[in-house]
Amino acid sequence: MTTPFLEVKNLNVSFPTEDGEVMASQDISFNVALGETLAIVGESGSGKSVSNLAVMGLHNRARTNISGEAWLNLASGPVDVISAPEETVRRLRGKSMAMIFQDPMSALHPYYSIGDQLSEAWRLYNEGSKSDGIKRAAQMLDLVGIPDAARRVQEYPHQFSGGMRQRVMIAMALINNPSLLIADEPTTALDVTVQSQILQLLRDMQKEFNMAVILITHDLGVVAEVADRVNVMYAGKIVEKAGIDSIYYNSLHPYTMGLLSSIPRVDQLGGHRLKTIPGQPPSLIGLPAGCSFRSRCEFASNVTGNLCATSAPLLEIKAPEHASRCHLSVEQLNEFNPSDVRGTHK
Amino acid sequence: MLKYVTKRLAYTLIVLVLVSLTVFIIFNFLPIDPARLTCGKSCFPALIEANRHRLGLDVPWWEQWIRFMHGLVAGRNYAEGSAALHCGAPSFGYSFNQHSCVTTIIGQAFPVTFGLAIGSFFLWIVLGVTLGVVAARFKGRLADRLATAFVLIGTSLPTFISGILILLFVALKFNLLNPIEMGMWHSPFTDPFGYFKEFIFPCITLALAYAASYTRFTRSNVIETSSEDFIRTAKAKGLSNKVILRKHTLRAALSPIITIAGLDFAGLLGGAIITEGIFNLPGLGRLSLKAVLIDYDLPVILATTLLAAAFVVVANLLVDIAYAYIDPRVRVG
Amino acid sequence: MSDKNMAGTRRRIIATAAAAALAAGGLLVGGATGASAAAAKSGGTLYMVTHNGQFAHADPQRNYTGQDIAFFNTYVYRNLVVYKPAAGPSGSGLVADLATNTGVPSNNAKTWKFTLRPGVKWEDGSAITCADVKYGVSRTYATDVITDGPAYALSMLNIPNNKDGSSQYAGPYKKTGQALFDKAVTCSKDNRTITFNLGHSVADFNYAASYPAFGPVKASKDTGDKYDLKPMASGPYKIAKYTINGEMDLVRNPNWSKATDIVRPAYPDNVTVRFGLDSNVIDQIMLTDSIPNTVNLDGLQPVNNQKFFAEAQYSARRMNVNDPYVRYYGLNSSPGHLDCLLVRKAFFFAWDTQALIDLSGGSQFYGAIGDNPIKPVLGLDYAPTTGNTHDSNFKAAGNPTYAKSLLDQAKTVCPATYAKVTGDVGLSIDLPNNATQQKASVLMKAALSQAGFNVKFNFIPGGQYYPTVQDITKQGDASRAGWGADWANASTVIPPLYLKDGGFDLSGNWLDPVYAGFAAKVTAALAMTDRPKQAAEWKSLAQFAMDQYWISVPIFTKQQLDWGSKVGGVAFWDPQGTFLFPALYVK
Repeated sequence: MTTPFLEVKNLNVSFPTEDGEVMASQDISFNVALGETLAIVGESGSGKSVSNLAVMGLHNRARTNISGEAWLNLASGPVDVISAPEETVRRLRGKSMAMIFQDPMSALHPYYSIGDQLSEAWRLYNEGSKSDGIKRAAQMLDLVGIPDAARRVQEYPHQFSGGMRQRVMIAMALINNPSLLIADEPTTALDVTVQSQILQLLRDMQKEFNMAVILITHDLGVVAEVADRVNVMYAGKIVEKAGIDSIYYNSLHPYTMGLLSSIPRVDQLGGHRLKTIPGQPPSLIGLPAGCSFRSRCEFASNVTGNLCATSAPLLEIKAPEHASRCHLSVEQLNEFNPSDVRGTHK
Repeated sequence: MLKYVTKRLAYTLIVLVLVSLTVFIIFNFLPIDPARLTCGKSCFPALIEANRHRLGLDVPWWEQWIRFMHGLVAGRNYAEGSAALHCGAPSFGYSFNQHSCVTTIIGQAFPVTFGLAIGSFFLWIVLGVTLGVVAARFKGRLADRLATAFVLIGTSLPTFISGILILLFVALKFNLLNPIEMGMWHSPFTDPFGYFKEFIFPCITLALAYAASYTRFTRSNVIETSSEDFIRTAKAKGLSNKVILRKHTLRAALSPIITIAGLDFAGLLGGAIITEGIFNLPGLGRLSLKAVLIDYDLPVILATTLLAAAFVVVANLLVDIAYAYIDPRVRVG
Repeated sequence: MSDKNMAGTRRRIIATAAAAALAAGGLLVGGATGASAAAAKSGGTLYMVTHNGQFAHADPQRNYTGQDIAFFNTYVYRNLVVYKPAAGPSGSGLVADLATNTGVPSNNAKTWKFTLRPGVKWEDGSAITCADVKYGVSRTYATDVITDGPAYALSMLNIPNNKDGSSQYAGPYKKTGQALFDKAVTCSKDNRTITFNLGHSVADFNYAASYPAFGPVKASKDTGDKYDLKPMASGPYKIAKYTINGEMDLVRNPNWSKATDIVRPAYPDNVTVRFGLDSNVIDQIMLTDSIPNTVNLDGLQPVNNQKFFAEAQYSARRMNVNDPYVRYYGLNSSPGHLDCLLVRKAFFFAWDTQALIDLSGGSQFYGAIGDNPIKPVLGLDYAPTTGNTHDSNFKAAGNPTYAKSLLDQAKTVCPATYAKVTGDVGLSIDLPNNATQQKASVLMKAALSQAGFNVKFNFIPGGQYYPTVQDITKQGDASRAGWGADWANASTVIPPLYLKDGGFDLSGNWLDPVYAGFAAKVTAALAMTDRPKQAAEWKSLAQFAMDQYWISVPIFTKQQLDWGSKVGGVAFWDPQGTFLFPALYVK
């Protein structure tokens, strides 16, 4: 296996509030290598964005408690972006690591032209005049599939459709050829037809630029198209991590199983009711002892004794390249895994 | 853009005409007879009627309005025989109280008010916006609390109190201003220092009153804008906080201020009645106050009312044009 | 601010504005002088400050407020005759100024002649001639341009009127009826003697002639309405600058000759009037004496006035005097209003005079209870009346019990009037709408209600107050008013206040059955040339007016003056109700 570009180790992010400390993400560890796509899946509030914003250094350090490590293995040597000075991290943003966001409608500055905004990003790390920057911007727009890029570079965000704006965002993120791209729910706000185009574009760009990509999403369906590996998060913790196929065919966590059965599928049209996971995720303030998922877990009763309530499960390797945070045994989990997922997925 | 401006200009003209009509109708229905007011001790009906004719009030309001509009374009004649007078275009009428063409009177008062408006505007924008930005950047810290205190004091202290305080306990107390010279109107061109001395205190008085709301406004806008997605994007690009604040946050946070500032400034151009009164500045505010409360000088009241309305209407137009320039989303729509 | 400055259109009507309770604390009352005996000195700049935006009028024919007349007659104009520049009662006498005498009457005072002093010049160096005086007087007839001025010429000169009451002469601008005027006012061949032919006997015409309305204007320099901004000077100073809301700057007039002038010492080199200063600034100047060569034309604000007149440090810079005014409420005795003597009397006795005086600054600063529409300063024409405030039932704070008993009598004598003032219609009082009067209304209501009146108020915006209440169709039952004599003769008090066409009749008494007999006596008194006999007549007519209760309890008001430490020669000019301007100098 190649050396990962990003290594996150025991990352904790919490926000002190008047009501208590919000444990937004706890004990997060993962790697992602160049050319590889890691999907991080979870409901909103599960901590999937929070940990990545910490990697980007986008939290207000004054109002956030961050501990742990996140190493970028740069050509110039590894840097821990958690402990590095803010200015060092800033100089990495947009250059070595870039990020795109969920809502392309509000993520672009409404008062500046597309060309200005792209050019600004390019000129931050490149010597060149503003017109050089605009030229470069036009090239990038062309690359991400925006027709008539030379003209449209002068237009303003409101003159672009949602999908086009996300392409602009991608172009802007990639304009300095970063090694890591964090895409935070890049397709959530878009029409279904546009979604797959954007995913396709991300895939193409990854090849073009040989990047490590982290795709943050709540939609396991999206993951299937692009990810190599998947981290499933729940209540601030990674509950399962595995290769894409293992997740889909042999999920070893009840929560992931729940997510899988709630995906609408083309091959099951008509009459089949989608399953939902009953209940709500717990508050991240003052998490109770035991397994955070137990109140919603339909298999918790199969665990001997009162273990789920008293002791928090650890993230254990339960199969090759496959870890899960559950007190159930691999056998039990295999048994509970819904057959339709196992059997019918291609 | 040109089409947009032309269209807005046409609307503005229509609004101004409507405003002038409204003002004429309102004054026509006020239960005050200006002709009766001009009549001295030996008053008899014929004299009142003669005065009514002299004031041009012996015709229906719409005819008065037509005469007024005609005077604006072509000038007007007043009185008869060897006492006849002429006010050249644009004529806003003749004030029998001040013995001058209203246009001349306005022409003398306006530069005073304009100087006051410009000076205080500059002060309050700089003060208000700076404090607001500082308060937003250091939200919850000492600087923020001081700014909040300033806002509280500024908004709760009316100019007729702050003006008197500044005048009596600063300007006069430390002999910074000679009370006997107040309002002698030093020309900024021939006596810039005298002009400065005369205007700095009233400008500060007005600026304090306005700056407070601009501080509050700027603070909340900057804080609000800072949490916008496009600011996170700018951060993700690797821009420094300074650049983000200057180029991204302020651009978006301060644009709405243009609307408020434009209208506030236009309102001041109509005359700062209280401040001009306290500091004895012979501007439009003093002029209208005297015309309304003391002399019931109808032509002056009419002119200052129309002018104040015109300033606001024109300011609206300019603000909209400026906005179209600043915010590309407005331009197309 | 002193009341009269706000009056604007009428010299002697007291203004309606907030009447800044003219407070004060000096012991000096009556034409006293506050200056030491040090010799007067020439030179320097004399400042005058006021919060008013301008002089009501600078045009001689339009000038009609006491302070303005005193100012312009002292500094800018010369006039046929002027008041003697002296403190005390002698200041009410006339001295010849532009004329060589104080007027020579003949033809039973229907013809008056004044001969001009030789060598008196205009600002432009030309001699002042009889034609100039005649032209000046003619301007009063141009009532559509020369507004607000006194109308003595209109009512006294022998020029017939049109049916609508306007003169057949329309003034020098239109020249309609010019021949009529040329007959009424004539000049001698040497252009030095002017003759006024009057329509009826006017024994004190020369007092009317002390008004600048009878002063000269050079026809070729007349600018009509604009003459009010820059009248040509004939006095010791000319107007170098006059901006409304700004200043008037007077500098020496090189064509004025001291040799021809027995009235004006003209001490200062410059006189500068600053207009539109905030009252707080004026008070600050006076309290701190920061501009010691300043005269305050307004009087201080109540609180500062009290301080100024209480503390010894200001004793050399203040004066508390009787002003020329009497304050009262005109009681409308026309039908449908207070058309019953008993009801008016009940009103008079229920009135809480003391509370109203206290509200406006107290007896020390505001004034004392009077008994007459004629003020004692008129000397010859004043005598204490009987009844009214001398009645044993009169109480300064009101006597509701007695008032109630009068009302009870009215119930049977005049049931309709009784029903109106006690019933739903009620008794309505006209007041100018300002803070002081709002407060006063509470006191009035309290006192009058106790006696059984149902009191209502009609608050009228300041500028429209007098035009409203002078219209009998708009007047209520009682209207706040004030009046001062035009000159030291009650001919300028009784007729204007109680004759139908007198000009300031707020009593509606011409509809009272007793009016005809009263009016006949007034008209007869006006024509009397025997001054002591006339005075006796005025006294008796004043008594009659008081017996009819045509006005509420009169108040003889006071006035306080203040000035800076470098101003010398300060004294009060009784007839003008202001500073004795000619005597002022810069120390």
